[in-house]
Amino acid sequence: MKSELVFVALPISAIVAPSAFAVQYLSVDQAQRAIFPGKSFTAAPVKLTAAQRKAIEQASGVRVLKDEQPVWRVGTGAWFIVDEVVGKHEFITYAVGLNSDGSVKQIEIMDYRETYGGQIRDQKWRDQFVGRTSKSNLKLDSDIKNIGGATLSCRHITDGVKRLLAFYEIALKH
Amino acid sequence: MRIRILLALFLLLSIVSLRADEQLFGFVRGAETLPAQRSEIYQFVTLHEGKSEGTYVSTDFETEYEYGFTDRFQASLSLEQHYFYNQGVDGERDALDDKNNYRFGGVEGSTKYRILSPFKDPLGLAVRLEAGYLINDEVDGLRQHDRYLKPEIDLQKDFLDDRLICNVDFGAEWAWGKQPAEQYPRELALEGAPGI
Repeated sequence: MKSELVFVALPISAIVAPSAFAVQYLSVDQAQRAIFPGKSFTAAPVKLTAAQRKAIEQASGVRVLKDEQPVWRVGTGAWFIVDEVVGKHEFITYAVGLNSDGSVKQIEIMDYRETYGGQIRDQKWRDQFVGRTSKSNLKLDSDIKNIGGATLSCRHITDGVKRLLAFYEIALKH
Repeated sequence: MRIRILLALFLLLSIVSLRADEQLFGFVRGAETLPAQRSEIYQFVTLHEGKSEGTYVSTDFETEYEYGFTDRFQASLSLEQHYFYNQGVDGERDALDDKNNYRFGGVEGSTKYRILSPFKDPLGLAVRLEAGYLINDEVDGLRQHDRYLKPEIDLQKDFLDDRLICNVDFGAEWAWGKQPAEQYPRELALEGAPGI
């Protein structure tokens, strides 16, 4: 028998699944106004050196995927950073506002492109990061509560904030 | 050959465009489960073609509805359908009647429980139990009363921030009532499949 078998998996899940993927919730400008209302912003993008990248990875325990980090200096001496973490298939774009002492002022989810896990936009969940610094423990479940059904997004955003707090210490603070 | 290439290409494109609780590797499942109160529908199309003589084309259509009862527990129900086109299959090993018709295959159901999360635990682990009642054979549509039970363990290990996903499924299948499509009244099969 020279039977050949080829299968085609044709997912039509998108037809019945909630249409929550590929949504831009906030532009950069909107995220800036949400975190630092009424403040002025000066673009100050950072290109990491190999040594800085390594130092951030060592300090945070999180892999640095991109050398270039979009950063804005806020008039008050604070910082506004736009970052991306891996979702299940696409990047999740989010913004972190840091106070002048390096603590988290607020985080905002800007683009969410996955079908499931969008609950990370809930303010109560995001508020868990407020006041955290590079000295804080940021571990999912113990320090940051997980959201059932959104575990991947929760873990990657938590890791992303941890990495950005290390980024502040190594690339922005001095 | 052309059909196979086109279908393989379509498969590749289908996987690239997957969303949600996708079975990333087609028939290989990971340890993830659907979030609570979410559902999905899959449509699998499987083409069997080619015998030593004549023309043989058999197409399976499996329509699966999957529902997440909790974040850890999901269940699914599937309908199996077949379409056969046989002309001149008259070899020593394969002798099939000429036909060009549709057959309802049967129903299948499954439950899956996630014990360990691939995103939080060192290794994702889920147990799955599938059962089915198939009234027409998938090879030639012969009448049968195939009932089967299929327990399975699904393992998933993610690397590189969940960008490299490795799945391994393994389990067993007890089936009975496959005659006359199969030689033996009962079967025990061990199955395993990897996906990276």
